[in-house]
Amino acid sequence: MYVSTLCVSWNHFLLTKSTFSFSLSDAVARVWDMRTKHQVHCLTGHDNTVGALLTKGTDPQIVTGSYDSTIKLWDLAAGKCMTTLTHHKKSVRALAMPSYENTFISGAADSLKKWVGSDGRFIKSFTGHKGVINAMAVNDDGVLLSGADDGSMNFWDYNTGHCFQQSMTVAQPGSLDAENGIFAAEFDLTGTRLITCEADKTIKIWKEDEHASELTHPIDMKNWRKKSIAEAKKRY
Amino acid sequence: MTTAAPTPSQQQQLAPLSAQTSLKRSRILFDTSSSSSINNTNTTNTTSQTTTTTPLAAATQAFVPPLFDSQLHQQTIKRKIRLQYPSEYSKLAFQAEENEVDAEGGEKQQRKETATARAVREIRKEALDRLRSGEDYVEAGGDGSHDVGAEGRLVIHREVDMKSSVMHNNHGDVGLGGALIVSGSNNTTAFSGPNSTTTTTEQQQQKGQPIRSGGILVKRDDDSNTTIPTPKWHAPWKLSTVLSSHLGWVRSIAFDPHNTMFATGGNDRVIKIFDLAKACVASQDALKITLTGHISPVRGLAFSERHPYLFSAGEDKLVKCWDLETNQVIRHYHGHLSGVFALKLHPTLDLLVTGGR
Repeated sequence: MYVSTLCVSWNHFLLTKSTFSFSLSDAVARVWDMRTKHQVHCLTGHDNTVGALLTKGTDPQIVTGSYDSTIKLWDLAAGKCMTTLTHHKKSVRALAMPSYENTFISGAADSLKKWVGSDGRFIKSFTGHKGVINAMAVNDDGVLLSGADDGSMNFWDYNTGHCFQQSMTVAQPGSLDAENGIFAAEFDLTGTRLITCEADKTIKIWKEDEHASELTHPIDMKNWRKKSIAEAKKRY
Repeated sequence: MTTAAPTPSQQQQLAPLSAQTSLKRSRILFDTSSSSSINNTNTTNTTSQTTTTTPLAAATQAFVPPLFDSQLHQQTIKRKIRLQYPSEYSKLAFQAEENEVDAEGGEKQQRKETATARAVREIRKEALDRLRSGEDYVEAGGDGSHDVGAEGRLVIHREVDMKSSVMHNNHGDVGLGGALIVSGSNNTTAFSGPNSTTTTTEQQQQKGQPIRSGGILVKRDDDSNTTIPTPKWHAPWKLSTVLSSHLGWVRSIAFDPHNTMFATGGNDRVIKIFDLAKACVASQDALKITLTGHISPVRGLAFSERHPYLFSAGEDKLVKCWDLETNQVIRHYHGHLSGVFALKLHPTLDLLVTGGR
């Protein structure tokens, strides 16, 4: 009898807690004036956490990716949503943008999707990375990294969507295998070093293999062709 | 346009057939609006075929589109073929091919060959003429395929999308070994020129060699033709250095605009700033400074490009602005009702964007 009441009260607590936290979560992006500390805009519209952001100098100046698996493009002057992209099936946790062209890419657990930066037209889906993608980074060379929750890292050719390397991070000695996971990644400004922030409490610095060449690591054109044809036939 | 004039006997034999084929060709190579006028010119050609001009040559002359430098185009085609397919170019040496066709039309074989074979040979010759004069530049109307007899087929089309590519493949397998396939791709992608021409003879097609046109067009014998972009080669990445300094998960990273240092924020509620050059060689003094002040994991970091400021956002609803000259918090941005998961700065305006839970 006592146990059951405890259970009921515990359930009640959980329920109230969840509703309570719901009232607290705002799921908005806020735009602040840097100097005056005032809030310029409150970009509301997402149903869940805004997990990723992009800012650009041209419209749409703000792109948000949310855990409600949508991407919204915002008009900064009006503070209103211009476009909502609902192609993703899983929460969007990462956004990345190259410096050399007006496109951006969004990462979710189902796939990575590339978009036109100006109006959010869909360009291409990069499939093949299984895992919750937490981090993405693009360098000026056209290398895209997607890092997932399980420590898997995929390196893609940003322009075509060809995955040229799939690797796993190695958890540092002393930590558990389960502590693989990439939370953030960034290329340095020259694009020659990649820094990943990981779940094993370390920061890892990656660089290109200077001994590799096109002969030692050729592009697997056969599989690439097969994959491209299969994707062309498939309606996404 | 130098077409070898056939012998008078050959001309008489071939004249009605070639007139027919050129009529058919006209329907394919031109859209319906212009086809009627061309038919008229063809009929005049047929009546005047006893004169010195070959009907073939007259027909091709009539088809020259305006504003088109055939010589220039011919040179471009030759150059493209030579550049892209050096091995094919030798096989496609135009003069040799023409001689071969003429040799085939010798008196011995003339008796044996059927009407279809003759038509195919004629078409082939015509197509070669076209290739040289650059008339495959003209867009194909209709379905883009042209039946010659029962077996041979001439396909002239532009590969614009998947549908027509598939169609090309369907028509591509010819029964009689006399068909010539001329396919011009006109997709305005970055990799190919506006009019790159691929020519394959039937031997190559039977071998099923994949033929790439400018890195875009991949020809496959077993599957449909698709435009497949050629990926750029990148060197594989390998692990160079491991920095273990944080006491919890590392959740965020930001680079200094001068590329000298980077900041990381972790679940241990601190922000650490590292020197990039020293960190790359795993030097002991890579860590420059540790900033404490957040009371929950730090989820967003950004360096300002125009100020010596570092912005940080945490799951504790706080958004802070650190002055890196004094290493102190100089501003707070209040307003989020829950944890802040993302933070970015506007590239040109003095604006800060944060995304909340």
